[in-house]
Amino acid sequence: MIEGADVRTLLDGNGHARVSQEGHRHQHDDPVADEHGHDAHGHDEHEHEQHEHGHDEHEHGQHAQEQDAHDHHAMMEVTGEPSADGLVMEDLEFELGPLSAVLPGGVMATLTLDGDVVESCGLRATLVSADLRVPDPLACAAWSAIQRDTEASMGRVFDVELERAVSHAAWLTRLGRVLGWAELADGARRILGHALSAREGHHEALRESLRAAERLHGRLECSRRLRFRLRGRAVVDRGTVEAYGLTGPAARAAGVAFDARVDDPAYGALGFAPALRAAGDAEARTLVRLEEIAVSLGLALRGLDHGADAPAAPAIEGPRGPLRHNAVSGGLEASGAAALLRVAGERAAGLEWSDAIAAITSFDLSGWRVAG
Amino acid sequence: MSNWTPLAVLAVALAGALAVALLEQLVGGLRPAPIAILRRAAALLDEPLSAPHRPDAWLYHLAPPLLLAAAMLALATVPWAPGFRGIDLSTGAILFSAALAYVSPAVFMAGWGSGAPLAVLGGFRFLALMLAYAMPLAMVVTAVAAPAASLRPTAIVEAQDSVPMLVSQPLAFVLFVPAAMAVALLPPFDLAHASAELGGGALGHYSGVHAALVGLAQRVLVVAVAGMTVTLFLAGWHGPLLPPAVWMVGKTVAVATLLLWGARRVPRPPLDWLVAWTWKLAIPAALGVIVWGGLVTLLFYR
Amino acid sequence: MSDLATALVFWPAAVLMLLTGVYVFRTSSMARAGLLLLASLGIEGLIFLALASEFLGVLQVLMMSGEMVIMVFFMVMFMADPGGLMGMDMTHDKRRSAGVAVLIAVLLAAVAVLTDWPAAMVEGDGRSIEQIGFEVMGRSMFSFLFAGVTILFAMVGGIMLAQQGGRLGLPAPAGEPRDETERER
Repeated sequence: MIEGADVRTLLDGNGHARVSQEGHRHQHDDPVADEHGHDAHGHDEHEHEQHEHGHDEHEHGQHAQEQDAHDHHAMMEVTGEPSADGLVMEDLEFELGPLSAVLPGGVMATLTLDGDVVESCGLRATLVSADLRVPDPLACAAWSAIQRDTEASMGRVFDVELERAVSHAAWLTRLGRVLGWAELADGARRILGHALSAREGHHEALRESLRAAERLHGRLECSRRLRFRLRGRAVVDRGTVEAYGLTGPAARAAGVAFDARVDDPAYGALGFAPALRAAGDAEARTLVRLEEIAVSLGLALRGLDHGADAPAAPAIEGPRGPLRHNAVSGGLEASGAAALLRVAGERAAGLEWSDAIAAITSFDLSGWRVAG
Repeated sequence: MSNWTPLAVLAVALAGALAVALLEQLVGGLRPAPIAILRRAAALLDEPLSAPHRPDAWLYHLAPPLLLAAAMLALATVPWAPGFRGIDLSTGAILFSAALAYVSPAVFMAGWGSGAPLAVLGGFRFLALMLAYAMPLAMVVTAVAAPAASLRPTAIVEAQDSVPMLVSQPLAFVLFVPAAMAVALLPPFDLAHASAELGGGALGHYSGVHAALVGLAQRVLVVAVAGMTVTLFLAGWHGPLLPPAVWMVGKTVAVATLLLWGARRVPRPPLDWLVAWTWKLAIPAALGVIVWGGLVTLLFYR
Repeated sequence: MSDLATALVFWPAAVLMLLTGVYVFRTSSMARAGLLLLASLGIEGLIFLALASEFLGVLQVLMMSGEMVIMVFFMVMFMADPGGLMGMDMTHDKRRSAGVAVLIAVLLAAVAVLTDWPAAMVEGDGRSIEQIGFEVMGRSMFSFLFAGVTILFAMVGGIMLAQQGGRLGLPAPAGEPRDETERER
């Protein structure tokens, strides 16, 4: 188990990860990766006890030993604020991640639970890429596309859109697993499989993937089961989007039509309109991404056939938001990435555990730290 | 019950667990690979035991054997054929509920014993769930036993030789199946040990032989629950042409497949919703089921 | 079951039952206490089974599981230090209570040993369920109703007490520290 705040995962040239630690952290002798060949269990919950006494429905751990054990009455005392149902419990504080099965890889959460309701949640990304040209390896085609020249811009569209479809489909599989909905995970995996083989060069798989995506989108658009789990959770409205500067599908789900592809002439040639929803809740974010999968695959197909060139774009719309190459500072930025982590943590507060995890998943967070 | 019964039950348990594992693969769209399953189980047994951070050792180590014992005892009460009846106690149907009642202390012990926050959370969630769901499970058994005038499973099967209980008491079946899925740790009631929502939850801190016992127990529970559903509602081994054992096994496989298939099609509901609906709807309905069972008995079975 | 077999099950089970019962009060962990009590009463169910009282035995085993699980629930909810890590002394007024306990134990033992219990050989058929049914619905209906309603009141009352901070005092108003230890945080 790896304790502590920062885990720097370094990618060497072949894309293999080396895990190193910093500072005073000590490593326990049961690394997660070797233990279970079949499934990743959240062995990395790190219980972080800070309270001395009192009762807590979930408390089973160390108390600081300052409390006088003979003080019978004080030991039986109940401290704390009553929670929403009137029961007084002590808070449970602990950290989760960065390799927890509950959160996206690399994301670390500092949680305070009151019973099984999340009282506060602080999220942060802990992974830092060694390749400065690709701050987020989960969107490497998009990051590379910014730094390329105008030649073969339709190739750029193909790469970026296919990567978006793959990213969203992988996220959808994860959502299916978090919701305990194997059917959704299966459907998403089907899309993902075909899209991945299209990325390898088998372009006929693109059509398969598109068909599967359209089928899944049609089924989920009015799905009562999806509504039941995700409607009304973690609502992010227009005001929040503007105040925090959110971007990407999370903003588009709130009705803010901010998409870097709108200004891109290459997309204009192919005919593109951003996917929008108005509700801003977890369901809306899911549906926006579903629609974007189908749209992206369609764009990729059309881009293949199109062939003509178009001038370079100032910004690329990555799977999670716009990426830009800041010519002044020379750095790469993803605006809204840090804001997304903050908003996700804030929206998870006050929700019961399963709703909180579903809400955090609905933001499609990335564990890679990028500037901006 | 003969001297061979324990051994026979053990054999049924192991074969049934393998069958359930194969069914899980089939239902999940994978190609069934029995050799791979056995090899993975053997690899699990070879794995070293690693205790979690701050376990309550007694509870942590006792939970998997208790879970397996409960599952085996529940399986032993299921009658498979007129010649192989399991432990055919005159109170067999209640013994089934009693054995399954030990699944919740076992899961709680696993969660509490693991000592990690999410494990304890999983343990408590399962307690809350089973406090609600254990009641329809036991009450429905009463209603089904009334027409048979006996709690002996073979007698209940014999009482269905003309009409299965599914037809004469459909509401009982509707209440029994979710309760049975919950106690068998099947999704969508897997909120105690969900891997993606609780990081394995109450059962997620086991490795090696413990994990093997837990996996075996989960599958034996599915076999036991499917077998008892067939016994109580689907007329057990009755059926034309084929020998009774074939009918029983076939029906059990069909029920197990249905349970596993249905488990994949529904997202996991939040605990509050599950518990609210059970307390407010299912338990009053179970009382109604008992009354209905009595009526059916008076009208048709006397 | 033959006499020897019954004795072989009865006496060790009785000893085990008493041992686990004693350990319920020796342990400080609430979870362990509840589960040890479950073990104790589950063994009692086994004793019933050994004495050919099938229905009562199985019912005992079934009911105890649910009851003890609820008890663990309530214990962990209400008691401080449910993990038992700080050692808890649950005894008060030790000398007088020990005296009363010994007196009652002696009285009960006297009743058990000196009473002329009606002895009968029990046939191992299934009629016991019917007999129990008639007994519960006939002669004993009043006592079972009374017991059931009392338990219901106790559970509801317990939850109501929990809502109001219970017998240990109301929780402090928001913002005000309860005692020094909380102020130190």
